Amino acid sequence: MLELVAFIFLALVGFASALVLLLQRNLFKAAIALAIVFVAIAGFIALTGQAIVALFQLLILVGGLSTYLIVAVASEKESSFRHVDMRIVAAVFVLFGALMFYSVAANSHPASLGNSGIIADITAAMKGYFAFMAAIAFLMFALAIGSVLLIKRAVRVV
Amino acid sequence: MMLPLNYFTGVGSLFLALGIAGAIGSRHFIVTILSLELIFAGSIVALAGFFGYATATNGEFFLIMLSLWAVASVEIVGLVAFYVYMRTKVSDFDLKRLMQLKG
Repeated sequence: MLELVAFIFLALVGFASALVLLLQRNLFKAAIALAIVFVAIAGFIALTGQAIVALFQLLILVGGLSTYLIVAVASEKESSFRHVDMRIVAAVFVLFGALMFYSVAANSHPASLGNSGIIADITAAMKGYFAFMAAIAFLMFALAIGSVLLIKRAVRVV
Repeated sequence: MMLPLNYFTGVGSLFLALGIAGAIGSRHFIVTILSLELIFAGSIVALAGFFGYATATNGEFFLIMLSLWAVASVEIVGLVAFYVYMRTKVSDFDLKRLMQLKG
């Protein structure tokens, strides 16, 4: 029961934040709304029992990506035009939402997905390279941070 | 008691639909990019649901997911850096007006 309540709460918060992201004329507030969406996603992942993945979601996407996005767009003023055409958004959301929700959620799934051979094959092939991949991921983050800082400095000089 | 898998795939598909709608209906460059992040978020919810229900889970696969997330998020930050640079060139990021610019 508690899981269901938490799931419904996270779904409402996530969708409300996604709508705020689209409706806001201020990019700073839109970036904060995206960060709240990522927190809700982390909650969904935690509800599936994968606490470590949820922690990574919080650390990388909320603590890393959202922070840099907010820093990058913090100096922007409020836009003079509406960011989205809500008629198009509503029409596309209803169309795609109905199609995907019916095809994905309406079908019954087995109680257990069993041993996934694809996962085992991929992990067997990547064995021994995980530390290397993690190092590359962190280096790319450093690249991203540096590029934002350098661009901001170049803009100030110009 | 674990929630049914349909719940997670349903929420993931709705986030996906909202992200697609935002990407199609948005007029601002950065909002289009943020809508792509919504699409990404929906796929993560569905993926987490599927892996949560698989009986054989491998902790090392989480590192692969982390690396994929890092690559995708770096692309987003790179695009935002491009936006910050382009702000010195154009005064507004209305895509309708940008499409009419010549030369």
